Amino acid sequence: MVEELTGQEIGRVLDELEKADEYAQKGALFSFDGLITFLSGIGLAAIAEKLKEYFKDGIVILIEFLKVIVGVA
Amino acid sequence: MNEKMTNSQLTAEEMKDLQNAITTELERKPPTIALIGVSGVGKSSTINTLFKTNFATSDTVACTKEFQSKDVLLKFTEGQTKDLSTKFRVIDAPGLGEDITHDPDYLSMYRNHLPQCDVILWILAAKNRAVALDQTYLKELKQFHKKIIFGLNQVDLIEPMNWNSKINLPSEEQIENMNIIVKDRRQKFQDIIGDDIKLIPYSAKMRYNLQELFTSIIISCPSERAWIFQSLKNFRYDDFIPAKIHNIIMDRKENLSSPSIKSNNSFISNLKTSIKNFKIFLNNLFSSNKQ
Repeated sequence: MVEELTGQEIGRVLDELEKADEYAQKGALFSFDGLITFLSGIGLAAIAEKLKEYFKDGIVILIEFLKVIVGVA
Repeated sequence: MNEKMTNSQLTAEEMKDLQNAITTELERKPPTIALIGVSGVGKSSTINTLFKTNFATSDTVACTKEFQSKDVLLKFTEGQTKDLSTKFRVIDAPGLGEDITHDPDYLSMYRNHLPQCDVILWILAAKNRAVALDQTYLKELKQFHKKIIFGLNQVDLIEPMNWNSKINLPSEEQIENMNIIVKDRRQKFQDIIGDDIKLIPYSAKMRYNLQELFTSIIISCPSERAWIFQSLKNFRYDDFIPAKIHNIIMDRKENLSSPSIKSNNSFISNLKTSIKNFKIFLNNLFSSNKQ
């Protein structure tokens, strides 16, 4: 039951959540750098630069953006 | 068609170039992941949990005698991209050591097929102590070591099997045993590879530690291909939290004032701004595509 959650249990979930969040951001940042490398490698460096500027504050949003492109491809 | 795409200043022509580049890359080489492991370790269920797909789970009797390349349809289930779909390729390898008379053929098949893969997910079962077969094959597949990440599945079955179902996390005793198992398996495989390895404990069934596993997959890809896999992500990093306690946990998270949470709030604030801009961007994108 929800009301039986102990402080320790809630703490454990929060710790797990924080760890997962850090991994999510790490993966997204690695992917973003890879996308820039990919685009630059095929002569689309100007587009890569614009994406870097546009998504600089929201890497997770870039991933949503990529899903749109991949999803309609 | 709009000449400018809001503040991004991507012109319609650039948008088209971007989409063409991505489409061409996907056609040239679809995202491909290989699954290796003895029968029953949960290869198919791992794929299904990460990507919410319907990849066929194995029968009672293992029947994969050859490498099978299967295109799996992935339908996004959340967010702005909900209901869009895409494909990726899964290479399902014959179970290790199913039949010793076939082993030389299997090794040859491994060598022929694994070069096509972006990443190789080598799955172990947490309760299975016998890893000699895995070690034997690993030794023979030296050229692919850099592409391999190890997943230690089924940690929910670790003794004393008292998974904390209220919070859907391993019990303290299970964590202690899990750490011992991870250390043991890591050592056994590092001795073969001669370098550090990525070995991620997780449970596909309980959705435990999926984000670490997924990020490890991403980081094991060649960097210029990692974005493709990232775009296939189809789970939330908080999926492991049971629905009935989700609100309680999130409320507690919001109320915490630790520096790490404050910093996260800043990230979320930036994210919200970007979401707003992104929605405008998408609206422009779709309206321009319709014209």
